[in-house]
Amino acid sequence: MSDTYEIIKTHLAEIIGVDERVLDDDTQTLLDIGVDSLLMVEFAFELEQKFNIRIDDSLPMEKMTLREVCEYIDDLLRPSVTAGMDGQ
Amino acid sequence: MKRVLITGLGAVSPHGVGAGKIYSSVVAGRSAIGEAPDYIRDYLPDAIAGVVPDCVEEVVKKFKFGNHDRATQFALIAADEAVADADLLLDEERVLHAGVAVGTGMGGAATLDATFKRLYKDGNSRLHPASIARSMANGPAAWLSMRYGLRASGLTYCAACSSSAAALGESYRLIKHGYVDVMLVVGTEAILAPGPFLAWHALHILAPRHADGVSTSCRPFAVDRAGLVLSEGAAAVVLESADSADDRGKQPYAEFVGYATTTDAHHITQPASGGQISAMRQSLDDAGMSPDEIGYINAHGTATRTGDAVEANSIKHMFANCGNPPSVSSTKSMHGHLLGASGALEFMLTVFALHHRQIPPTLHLDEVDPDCAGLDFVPHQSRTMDRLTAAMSNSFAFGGSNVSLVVRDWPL
Repeated sequence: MSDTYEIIKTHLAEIIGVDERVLDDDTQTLLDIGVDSLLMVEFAFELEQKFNIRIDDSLPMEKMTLREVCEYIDDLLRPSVTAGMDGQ
Repeated sequence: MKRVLITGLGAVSPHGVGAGKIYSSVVAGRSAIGEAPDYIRDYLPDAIAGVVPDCVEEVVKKFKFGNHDRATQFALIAADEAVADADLLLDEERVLHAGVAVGTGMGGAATLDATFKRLYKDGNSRLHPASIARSMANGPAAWLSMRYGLRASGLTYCAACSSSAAALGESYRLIKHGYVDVMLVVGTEAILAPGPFLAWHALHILAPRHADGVSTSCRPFAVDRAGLVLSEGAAAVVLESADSADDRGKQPYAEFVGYATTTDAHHITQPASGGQISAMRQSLDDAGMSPDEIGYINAHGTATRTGDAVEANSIKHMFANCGNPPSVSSTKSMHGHLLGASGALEFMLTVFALHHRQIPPTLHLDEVDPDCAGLDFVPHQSRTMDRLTAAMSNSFAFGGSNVSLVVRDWPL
């Protein structure tokens, strides 16, 4: 389990006011677990601030599970191959 | 027609959290005017204000109000106290006949200020998605209706400094004419943010700090008054039909008996005596009372040069033929000007004054301005009035919106 997942899980549980264990169900999308449209955009905004990233406005977060969202963010945070080569 | 009772009170102000505590502070003649927050003094080093103390943060955290605009936070804190004070049992049937009314002058001004700062100053066009939900003026009313499940009327009144006085008056009418049984009425304001504060400063009507100390800077009706002091907070009042209160054996603080609103149609900021006199006269007509019956008036009394003089003359004219004219005080000398919330806070103080027979003073009134002279302004110290049976609260706003509210003893 990545650090990103744990950080985001705690944050999301606080936003929607549920026990963190509810978010461990990998079959549930964010919409399924009660993240409405306003909470969804607030959640995305908070993630952008927390990780200093820019989430694609067209990303269908409501249809994604929490784990899928975390994988998306991990991808954004991962240094690109080009950046790595530049560093060599 | 239904009789309308006041059965619950709550408030948060520069004097702290708690309606009774605030009234006690005001009756004791304690000013809560102090330094403006640092983020305002960065622009105006000498700025002064009535700031809600830090203790409110504990309440915000306890009830998880942190995600709201500060005006909504204040509204929720004040309302929780008032609803508890009224012992309201809001069951499924009652909520259908219970509504909410909010008065606010500038709504979520602090949220808008922060949003525009992020855009224009920080150069970040990615704005918080809750900016609109937090800043819309009817946000507090919406959150209050959700918190208590109130399903009847849910409106927000915006009439500058008369906003919450109008919310109270219109709610009184809703109950009086049988549209609802219960109204939760809240005045709230949170404009101590750099943009709104500097905009007020630009009007040249804010008081400078007084040589006797910052806390003495708001001096209504005094010869050396120099302007108003911006302030923040909220007050909540539960209004209820007498039938509703009787059914559950609830003893009220007082009866709400008169309301009138008039408009000057004169000037966007300058007051006019005619509209103020009409508001007071019509509110007494509504109450079925004569001017002689009013023992105390909580004046609008902002401490501006023009405003105080016009209001003093309006009151003198209105009560000219009284054998025993009312005592008049401005509690803004202690809590400052809460703009849209001031009407509700001052109504609450008026109700307490009637209930306890103890009227608050006008502080710092060492010498009455000759332009205001001829009234009993209760200078410096509160006064016990054993025979006080009725009182009036005035709110006379920018835009020429005048509201007068009248309360009377409820028979024990």
